Amino acid sequence: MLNILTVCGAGLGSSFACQMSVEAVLKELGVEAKLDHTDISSVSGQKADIILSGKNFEKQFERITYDCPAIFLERLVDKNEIREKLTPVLKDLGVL
Amino acid sequence: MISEMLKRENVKILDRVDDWKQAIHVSLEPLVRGGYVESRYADEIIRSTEEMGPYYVLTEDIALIHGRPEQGVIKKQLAVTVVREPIQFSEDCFPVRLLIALAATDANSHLDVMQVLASIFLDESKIRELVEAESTEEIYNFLLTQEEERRTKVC
Repeated sequence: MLNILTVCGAGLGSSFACQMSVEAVLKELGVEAKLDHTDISSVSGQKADIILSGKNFEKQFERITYDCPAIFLERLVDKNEIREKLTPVLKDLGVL
Repeated sequence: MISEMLKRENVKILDRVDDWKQAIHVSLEPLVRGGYVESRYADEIIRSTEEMGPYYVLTEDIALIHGRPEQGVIKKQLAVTVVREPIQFSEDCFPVRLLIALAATDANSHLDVMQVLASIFLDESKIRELVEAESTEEIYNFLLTQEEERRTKVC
């Protein structure tokens, strides 16, 4: 099962809202995945196939270790932007 | 549930605030007053913002003002403030008119509330309905109706 992790500063508000938008997009695409949300300081220890976070966190991601594709969003809850950026990654991973 | 986490008197409409720091204090004030968060919660969020940028601005018009449980949360609760004059949290972020203050005690126990909020955040017409509401009563009732609609759809 594909693991998708959404990330924000606190790990319970923005990332949670983002997770729900990602969920809605995946449903439309017919892709099954296990979703979870966390804060940026806990990313390194987590298992993920794709990470989604806010554009403002892009620089901070350069300083942490993670070994999967990361998508940075202007709008964390915008289904169009999520679909647009997530689709090529899903294709790369062979799930779409 | 929103009906349990949001009190009618904790919905406000203001003409303007001086700056983003005041916006954070104003939006969290009902939670401090009600004993749901410690008074340091606002300062902690301001400090996090200075470190990470406004991580709670989700899209145009929406800020979900929140911090981590250990930054002073006592009990889960919401407060809603609409500010008529858009607030700029940073130079390159969207102007905001709807401030939803969230106190969450862990990462998941507010799931039902987030589901209702997320369904609003996904829909521009619903966001507009909230930021252009003429009374606090209208905002409160709209949120409860959204929760009710979601519940009947799920069942």
